[in-house]
Amino acid sequence: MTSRRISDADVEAMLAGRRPADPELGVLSDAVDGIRRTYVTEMDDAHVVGLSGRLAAVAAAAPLDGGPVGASRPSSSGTRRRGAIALALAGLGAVAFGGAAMADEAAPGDFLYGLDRALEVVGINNGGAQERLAEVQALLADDEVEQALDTSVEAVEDMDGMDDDEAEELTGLLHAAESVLNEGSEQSLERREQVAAMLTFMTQTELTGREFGQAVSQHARGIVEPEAADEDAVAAEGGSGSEPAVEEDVTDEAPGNSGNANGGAGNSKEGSGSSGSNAGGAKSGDDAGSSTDEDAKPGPNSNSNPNATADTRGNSGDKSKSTSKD
Amino acid sequence: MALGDYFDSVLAAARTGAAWAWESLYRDLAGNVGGYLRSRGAPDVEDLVSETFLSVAKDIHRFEGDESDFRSWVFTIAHRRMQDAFRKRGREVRTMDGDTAMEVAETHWLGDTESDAMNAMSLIEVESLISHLSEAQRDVLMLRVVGDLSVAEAAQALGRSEGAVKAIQSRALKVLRKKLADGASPFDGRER
Repeated sequence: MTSRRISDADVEAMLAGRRPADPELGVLSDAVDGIRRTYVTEMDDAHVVGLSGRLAAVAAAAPLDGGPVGASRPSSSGTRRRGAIALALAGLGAVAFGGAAMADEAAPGDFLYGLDRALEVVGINNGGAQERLAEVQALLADDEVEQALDTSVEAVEDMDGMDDDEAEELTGLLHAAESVLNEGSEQSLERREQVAAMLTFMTQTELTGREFGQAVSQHARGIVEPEAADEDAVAAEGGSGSEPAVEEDVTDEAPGNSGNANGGAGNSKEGSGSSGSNAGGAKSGDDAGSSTDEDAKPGPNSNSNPNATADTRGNSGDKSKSTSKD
Repeated sequence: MALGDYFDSVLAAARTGAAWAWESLYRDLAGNVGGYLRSRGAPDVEDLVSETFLSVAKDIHRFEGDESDFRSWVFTIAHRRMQDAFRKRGREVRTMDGDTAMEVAETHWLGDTESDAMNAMSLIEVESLISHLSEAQRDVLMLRVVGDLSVAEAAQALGRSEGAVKAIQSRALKVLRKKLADGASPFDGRER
C-alpha cells in the first residue's frame, strides 16, 4: 500500500542508491535510480581539462583577503509571514482539522461556515494542502512539533494565492497556535480548547476581511499569556522562547560572517523558519538567494544559526497584528 | 566520488592554482552539479556549471570547512545561479515539459549518440514523474539523488533545516510512490 510510511532507513537507502529493505519499495527505488541515471552525467574530458586550467588561473589570481565564505544561510524573505501562517496552520491542524472535512461542505449560516472560511484562507480545504495538514495533525499528536511546523511550511509554500491581507487575517490564529505549540503536553490540551473556542467564535462572527482578522486577533489576545499579548512588551522581550520555530528575526542581517549559515543538525527549532528558502509563493522565496555567492557564509560552523529562534513567542503575531490594526 | 582524506591536500593545492587539483575538484562535483541543474530545468546548464566553479575559484581562499562544507557551498552557488538565471528569463523555477526536455536532450547531452537516445527517453519519463513534485520537493530530492548530497549538505545548500529537508524528501518520495502506483509515469509502477 502506498499509504504505509517509508522507514528512514529505506529512504536513505534509496536516496543513496541502495536497495531498500522493504520489497514493496522496489518500483520507487527503480524510479529514484532512474532519476539519478538520467541527470548525472560524465563530463567531457576536453572540457574538464580546459576549464580546470581556467579555474586554476582564476584561483591563482584571486585575492587572498576577504571574509570567509561557505554555504547558504537561512533565507529570511517572506519567512515572517510564512512562519506566522505555518504556526497558524499548525494550530489549526492540532485543533480543528477534525472538523475540516465537514466544514468543507458548510454553507453560510451553518455552524461551521466561519471555520470553513478560515480554513479556506489558509488553504486547508484546497486540494493537497489538506493531506499535508493531516500529516501536521499526526505529527502534532506525536509531539513532533518541529516536524509539524516544517510540514506546515511546506503546505504554505504550495499556496500561491494568499496575499498579505489574507496573511494578516491569520495573526490571531498565530497567537493561539504559538501558544499551543509553546506549551508542553500538560497544558496543551487547555490551550487547544481555547483555540477551539476561538474557532467557534470565528464561526459565529459575521465580520469579513480585515475586520474579521482584527476580531480574531482580539479574541486570540485573550488566549495568549498576558505578557505575550502585550505588543510592546513582547517586542522588547528577549529570545528565550522555547519552541517557536518562526524565524522572523532572521532578517537579512548583514552578510557578515558570524557563522550561522543555516539551521542544521540538532537545532530543529529553526526548522520551520529556515525552511522557507525558496519555492513557495512566487513572491517570497529567493531574495537572499539572489545575492549570489559572495554573501554565503562559512561552512564549518554553519549550524549555529544563533538568530533564528529567539523571541518569536508572540512577536510575530503582535507585529503583524499591529500592522493590521487601525 | 568524494575525495575523502585527499580533500585537504587537494584544496590546498587548488588554492595555489594547481590545475590538477582543480581537475580533481571539478571531476568530483561537476557531473552532480550539472545533473542537479538539469534536473531542475535550468537553462544553459553547462554555462551555469562553469560560472559556479569560476565563483568557487574566485573565492577559494576565503572558503573554510571540510569536504562536506565544500560540497554544500558549491551547490549553494549553483542553486543561486540557477535562480538568478530563472529570474533573468522572467519565469518561475520549474522543470521542463516534454518538448523542452527533448530539446535539451538533443542539444546538451554529453556522451555518445547511442546513449543519447536512451537518455532522452529516460529524461522524458523522469520529467513526467517528477513534474508531480513541488518546487521545494524537487530542490531537495534532486540535491539528494542527483547532487549526491547528504541531508545535512542539502540543508546547508538550501539554507533549510535538516528537519525540513527530511520532511520534504519524505513527502517527495510519498508523492512519487503514489504516482507510480497510479501508473502516472512510464516507469510502469505496480506496487503491491
